[in-house]
Amino acid sequence: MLNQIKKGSKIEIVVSILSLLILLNYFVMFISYNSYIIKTIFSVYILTILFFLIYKPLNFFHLKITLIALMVIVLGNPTYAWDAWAIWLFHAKRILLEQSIIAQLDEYALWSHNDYPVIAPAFATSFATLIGGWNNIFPKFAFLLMFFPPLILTIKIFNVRYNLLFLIFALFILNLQLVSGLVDGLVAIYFTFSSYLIYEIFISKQNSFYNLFIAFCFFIILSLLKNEGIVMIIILFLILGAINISKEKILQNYKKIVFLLFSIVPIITWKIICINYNVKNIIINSSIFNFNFFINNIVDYNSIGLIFKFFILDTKFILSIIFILVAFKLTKNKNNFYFSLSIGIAYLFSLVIIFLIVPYDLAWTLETTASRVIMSITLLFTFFGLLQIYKKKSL
Amino acid sequence: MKSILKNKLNLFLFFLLTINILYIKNISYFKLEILKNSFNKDWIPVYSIYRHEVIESKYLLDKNRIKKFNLSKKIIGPGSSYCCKSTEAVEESDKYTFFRIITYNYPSKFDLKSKYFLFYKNEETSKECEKIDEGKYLKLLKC
Repeated sequence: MLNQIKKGSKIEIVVSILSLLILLNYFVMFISYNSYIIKTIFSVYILTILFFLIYKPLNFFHLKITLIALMVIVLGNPTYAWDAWAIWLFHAKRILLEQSIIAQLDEYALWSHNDYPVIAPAFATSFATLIGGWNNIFPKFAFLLMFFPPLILTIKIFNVRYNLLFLIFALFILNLQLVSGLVDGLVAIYFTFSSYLIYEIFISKQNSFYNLFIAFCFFIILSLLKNEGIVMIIILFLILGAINISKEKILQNYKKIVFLLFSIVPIITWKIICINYNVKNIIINSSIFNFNFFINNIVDYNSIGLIFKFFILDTKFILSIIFILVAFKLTKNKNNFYFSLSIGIAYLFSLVIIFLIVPYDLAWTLETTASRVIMSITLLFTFFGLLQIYKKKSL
Repeated sequence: MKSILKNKLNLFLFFLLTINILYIKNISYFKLEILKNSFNKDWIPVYSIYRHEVIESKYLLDKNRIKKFNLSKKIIGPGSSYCCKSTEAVEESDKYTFFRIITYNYPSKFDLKSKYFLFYKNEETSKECEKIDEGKYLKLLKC
């Protein structure tokens, strides 16, 4: 039966199963912490990955080798990154030991950003449940496993040569984010592939059920990874709205958009629970809702200059801009170029606004976060640049 | 595999990919010892935690079966419980030891009301405090 299914569909099925299992794991934990069900879900996830690695017709040797190599590197690396041990793995440890996904929603260790969504820590917890204990090293492995669905999807998007190119670029951009136990790399890759799927469904008009379903899963995962993910999802919906308005067909594809809108239900639920437990975001200080504070910060040209200085000094970001411009010059693919550019600019704009209103020392905030958050746009531009060239070549 | 080996350009790209992976391995803190112990639940994460005091705090608390502990003002550091709002604040407060002790010792919880205090070994303490245990870097007192 497997032989009768096309290669592209097989990949879509594998990606759908993996994405669904990540979500299932989260929702099962949300309902009740049942270790047998959690172990079963994680085992199925591992078996699906093994199937992908072993199944010969999905013959992308280099991707499989890369993923195996990254697994070894992850397991041989200490957990030294501040956010990895102080936020993500600490949340995972708390879920495991308290056997509750809302373990962090108390007054304890407020500096660990207790309001952050927990899909990645929950996945690490499941891995620890399967292993039957905890240490500082192996839970990071679960974060790497969460990279698999979008990376496997690239097999369907590109041929071998372009897949190799994409992997080289992705490893160059994501770098240590793949192995350090941080979730910023996950945010970047899910953002890029959510944007790609939106492009395929709404602009290239690829009416595949799997595309829509994977987009739906990716949206949920992205919004539950980090607060930045929520902003990204809002941007993607705004872009969808803008596409419809520009075509003067406001109700075009409304069924698909409504279906995708349901993807924000889990993050809204999480935020409502946070409010109920009186867990606040320590970055969004109440003073930002003060009109004078907001206006004074927004029109602070020195701060805006400093923010752009940090962005411009990011070599990878600049290279990605040059790359997408060169790709556009070569291919003249306006749809692809303007779509990715509008998403990138919208996110860049929202980043500037966020940096301007955080109640911390701006230079320090930028030093510690600028390169991590700009990475999402860098990967987005690089991916869409490569996609433009690939589509032109394969015509 | 064949599609890579057949084509020189693909082979070159595969070579670049391998270099990229090796680069990630080299710039990370990869160690074979960590890999060997990656699933060992009793292994002390000496490469993850660079302050010996943090590792010793767990040893002292576990040995004396203390589930709620307090820390000296010197360990907690100046400023609020949040870290931090500026570069100066980071340098001044040195919250690493404080936060790392909390995360590493969980489910033993830091509690300001607890009578069991961890102090640096060279710290002056009140005469009312009774020494329970001590290690190379820390001492455990009941105050």
